Amino acid sequence: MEKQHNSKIALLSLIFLALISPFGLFIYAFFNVASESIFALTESSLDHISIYELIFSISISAIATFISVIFGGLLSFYLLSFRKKDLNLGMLNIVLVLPHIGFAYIIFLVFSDTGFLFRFLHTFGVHSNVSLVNDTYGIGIILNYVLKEIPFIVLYLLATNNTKNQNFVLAAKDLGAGFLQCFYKIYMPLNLLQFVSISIVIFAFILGNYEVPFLLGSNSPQFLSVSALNNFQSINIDQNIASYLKVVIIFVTSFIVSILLRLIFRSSK
Amino acid sequence: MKYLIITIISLLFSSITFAQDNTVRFALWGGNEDINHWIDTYVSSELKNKHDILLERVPLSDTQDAIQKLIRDKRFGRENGSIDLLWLNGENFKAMKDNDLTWKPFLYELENSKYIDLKNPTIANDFGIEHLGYEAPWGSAQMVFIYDSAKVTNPPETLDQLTNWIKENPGKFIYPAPPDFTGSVFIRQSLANILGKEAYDNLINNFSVNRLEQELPKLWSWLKEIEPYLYQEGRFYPESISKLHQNFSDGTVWMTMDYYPSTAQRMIDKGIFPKTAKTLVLKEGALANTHYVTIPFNASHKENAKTVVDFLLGIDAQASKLNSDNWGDFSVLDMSKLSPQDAEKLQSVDLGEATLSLEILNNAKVQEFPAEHISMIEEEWKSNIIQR
Amino acid sequence: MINNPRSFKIINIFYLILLGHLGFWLLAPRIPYPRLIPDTIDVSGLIELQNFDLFISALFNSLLVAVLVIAITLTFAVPLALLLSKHQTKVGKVISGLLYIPVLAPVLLPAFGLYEIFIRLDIIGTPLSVAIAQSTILLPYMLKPIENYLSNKGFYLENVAADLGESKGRTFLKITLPGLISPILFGSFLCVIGSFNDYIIAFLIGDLNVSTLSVTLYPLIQSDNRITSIITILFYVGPLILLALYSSKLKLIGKNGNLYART
Repeated sequence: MEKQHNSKIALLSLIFLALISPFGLFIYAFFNVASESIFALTESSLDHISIYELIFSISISAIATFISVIFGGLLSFYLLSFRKKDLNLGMLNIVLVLPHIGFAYIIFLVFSDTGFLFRFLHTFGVHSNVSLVNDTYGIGIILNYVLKEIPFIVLYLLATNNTKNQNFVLAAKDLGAGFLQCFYKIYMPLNLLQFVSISIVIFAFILGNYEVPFLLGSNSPQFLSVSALNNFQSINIDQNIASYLKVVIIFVTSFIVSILLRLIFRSSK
Repeated sequence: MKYLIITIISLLFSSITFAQDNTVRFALWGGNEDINHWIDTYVSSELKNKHDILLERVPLSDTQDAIQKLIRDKRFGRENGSIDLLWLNGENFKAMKDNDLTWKPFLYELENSKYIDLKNPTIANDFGIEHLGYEAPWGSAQMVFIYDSAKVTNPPETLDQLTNWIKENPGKFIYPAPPDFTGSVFIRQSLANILGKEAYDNLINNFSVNRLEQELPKLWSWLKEIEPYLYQEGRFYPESISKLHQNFSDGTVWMTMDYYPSTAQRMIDKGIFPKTAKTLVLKEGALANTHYVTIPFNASHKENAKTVVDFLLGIDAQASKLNSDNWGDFSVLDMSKLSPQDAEKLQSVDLGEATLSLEILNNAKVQEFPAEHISMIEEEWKSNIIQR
Repeated sequence: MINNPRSFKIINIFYLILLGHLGFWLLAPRIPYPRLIPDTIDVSGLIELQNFDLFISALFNSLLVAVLVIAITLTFAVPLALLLSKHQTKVGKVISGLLYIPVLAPVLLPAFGLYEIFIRLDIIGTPLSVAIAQSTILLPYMLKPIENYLSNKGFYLENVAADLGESKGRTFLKITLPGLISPILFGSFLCVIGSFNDYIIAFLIGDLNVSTLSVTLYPLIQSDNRITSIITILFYVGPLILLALYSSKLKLIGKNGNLYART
């Protein structure tokens, strides 16, 4: 009885604490934004929302997440075979702590059409008019996130790796399995939860980020977050409403994707 | 542990401090290092020494950010704002006027306003709106093209010659995407050039949206005509003028543009532009306007802000501003109202070889567009040119 | 077994080139495309133009906001983690899951949603308000290490102390807290990085009054490549100093050179 009573008090105090914490503020902010958009919706404000932009943002985020998780996973699997003392991840640590906006500048300076890479290639006689940055396919954005998130994924997977799984890997290798086979038949399934968690976090982050698509994106289509801020800054009230709605859409999309991925994970178990 | 708590509490208190009484927070577009540097060094030190005012520069990515902030301030009844002085013109001033965000006609209370020709339409009107003293003129600008004379041996003099030059030299010309300020000016100026001075003046003086809608298709067809010959076939328009200048510096485009006639000389002196860079204006005219500073309704230090504006209108500040080592922005003072010594201060400033003479610039002057329709033109540019 | 450290060094070198190439842009004001070597090397203009006072005060503002974020998140993360790990019921697990939802939210959400209430409370435009808004997104980053640590550790020692008649407060201070230092440090490291990274919240909630590093350096995006280079280097300074501090003093980077989660 006492235990039940105690746990009820604990539960209530947990809920109370959560509500007065920054989490409670977050809930408040969400309802504020949702009510300002959904209840104030007018036809003219919907004009400022482009389905094309939505699809573009989601696909770029998905592609970037997928590529970085796969490559990060491959790299961390590769690194697991090293002896610990040979492994020095020095530069990866530094990339991890850099602000995204600083890294975006670097990508711009290296990969733009008059950037470092193309000057370098030019000295070897490779002339090209291709622009990897500010292009309509979002290549610059994908490049930025892949290069920036791979260290993060590697460090996360290395830290959360279950050493017991190594035995399975060794057994498979003894039976003649190749590197890639070990990776997607053993390493990934055994660490699927980590892969799913990190994918959710990275996808949500990429979809909601502002600075990188602003710097590396093209005139059109724009990322949803960039056009949301443009709408918010505009003097036109319809655009303001549209900006709130876009933020809600971004959040709900990330939430739905996280649930979907978790369901896929549960079903594959 | 104790020290940690004390430090945190003192930091918490310090975080709610208020600005000192002699501070003035001046918000300006922060994308130009030279302007920033001039404000941070010359202007700040003069104000400190002569008027004991601490100038705090607030960098903005876009003046509209500040306007939007003031609109929110007004909506939520915020009396003590965080901006005392704002650099703006055109559509931004219109937004302030429409939303009742200005303070009062402080211009006529300033000492140095007597050296300005307040009745001159280019000074009394900001993009077609009479400011009535709610903002003070600060400097003036005129659109020019900058070209590399080593590569452009026969610089175009008319719009037709420019069109031909673009077609004969594919990939060597581009303009920034509106709503970037310079890109926006370029398309407005192109419209003025296509219509010709008379028809354009007629449009502006007897303005109606219908008439504008009738004329705009001419602009879009010209822009579409040159698009395939632009840099990278017009796949991407640089989102800021600085990116275009960078391309010019790299040599990938042979022409750029700017709203300040002395930018070219300044960039040459800094080593960013090639020494052979020069400026030109087309015979059909170049858009010119005045830019202003204003004091918002909820500025926390209004009287000090007035002192700062008065200083900025003074002959020393205007001459220093004109110097292309600092900024190269033209003065708003009326030469005929200045004393001979003061007039000499302005005339003795060397504008540099690459800058066109005031005579040429004045002859090419074309008046600016009415502010309220500028965003409409920018939106239509997006739908006509970008969204395919 | 693949035991070739050399092939991994390639990745390190790749990132080193990526980050280090910034020096190229500083060599001269103008390097026409497609040159890799400028005609003359001229670094004179760089130092004069930079306003280092502004930079230092921006760095200080960023640090101030980061410290406030740590204080706020810590105040709530520790009790929440204690409650969550002590009472691992179904409802507790649901709440624990809910508390991590802010990780999915776009940074624009608290910026848009909290603006009005901060104006009403008249705290808009202060480092405190920026810190509060950032904490809504960064709380999970402080919460997770602490919660993981407490769940793994269990409360055996605390129960023993309670049986021996020690008060709850002293038990917490003398037994639980010393062990929490490690996850707290890691969580605060993540919070500081998150706070430095942020531009939108500092810009909107800071209301042009709080000049953090991102807010000050952001308008300068619209500049030539040389200035952009310097700005990028300046962006690194803060986080790199922090990384050095955390790794040397607090041994966050382990023996292998890994930044691993002590969770």
